[in-house]
Amino acid sequence: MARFDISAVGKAVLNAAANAAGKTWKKVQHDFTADLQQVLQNASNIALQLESGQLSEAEAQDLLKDQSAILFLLAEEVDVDSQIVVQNAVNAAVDALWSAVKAAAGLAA
Amino acid sequence: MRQNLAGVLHRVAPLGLVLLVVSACHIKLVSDYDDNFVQAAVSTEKEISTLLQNLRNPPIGTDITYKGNIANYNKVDVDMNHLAVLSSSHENNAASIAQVNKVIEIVHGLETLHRDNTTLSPAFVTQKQQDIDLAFAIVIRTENDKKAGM
Repeated sequence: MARFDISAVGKAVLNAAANAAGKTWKKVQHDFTADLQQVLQNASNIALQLESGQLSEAEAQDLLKDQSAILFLLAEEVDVDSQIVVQNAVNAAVDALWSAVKAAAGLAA
Repeated sequence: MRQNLAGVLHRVAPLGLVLLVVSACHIKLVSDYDDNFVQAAVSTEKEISTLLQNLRNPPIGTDITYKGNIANYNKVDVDMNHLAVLSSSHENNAASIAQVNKVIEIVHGLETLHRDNTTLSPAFVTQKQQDIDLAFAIVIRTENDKKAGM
C-alpha cells in the first residue's frame, strides 16, 4: 500500500483552507489546525489497520468517509467564524456611525 | 421665535432621520447562540458514547448484535432528529444545519455497518467513537463561537 504522507497532505489542506478563509484566517485557524492534524492521523491509522486486517474493507471505507465528513464540519465552522468576523466589523462601523451622528445632533454619547 | 424653531427643526430633522435608520442597522449574518441546542448535542453524544462503549466492552449478558441494539439506535435516531429540528428553527443557521446533517450521516454509517455485519471489529468501534466525539466537539464549538462572537 502507498504511504500516506501526512505532512504533505496537511500542508495542502491548510493552504486551501487559508485561501478560502481569506483575511479572517488568522482568527479562525486555531482549532482548525489541531483538528486537521487529528483527521490526517486518523486517515493514516485507518490505512495501517486495514493493511494489518484489524479493519475490514467496509469498515475502513466508512471510517474514511467520517474523516471527509469531519473536514466538512470544520469547513462549515470556518464559514461561521468568518461570517461572525464580518458581522462584528460591520456592526462596529454602524456603532461608530451612530456615535458620530448622535454627537452631530448634540445628543449624549 | 416661531421662525427660530422652524430653523432648528429644519436642521435637526435630517439628523433625526439618520439616527432612526442607523440605530436599527445592526446586521445579522449568523443566528444567535442556542443553549438548548448545545445541551441536546451533549446529551446525544453521551447516548452514542454509551452505545459504543457497551459494544466495545460489553457487560456480561449484553447482546452486541444489531438486533440486540435496535432500541438504542432508535433512541439515537430520535435524538439526532431533535438536533436537526433545533438547528432548523433559527434563521441564518445554514452551517449548523449542514453540520447536523453530516453528523447524522456519520451515525447512520455506524448503524448500517452494524446491521450488515452483525458485529463490528474493536478497531472500528474505537475509531468510530473518536470520530463521533470530534464531530460533536466541532458542532458544539461552532455554536459556542456564536456566543463568544469569535
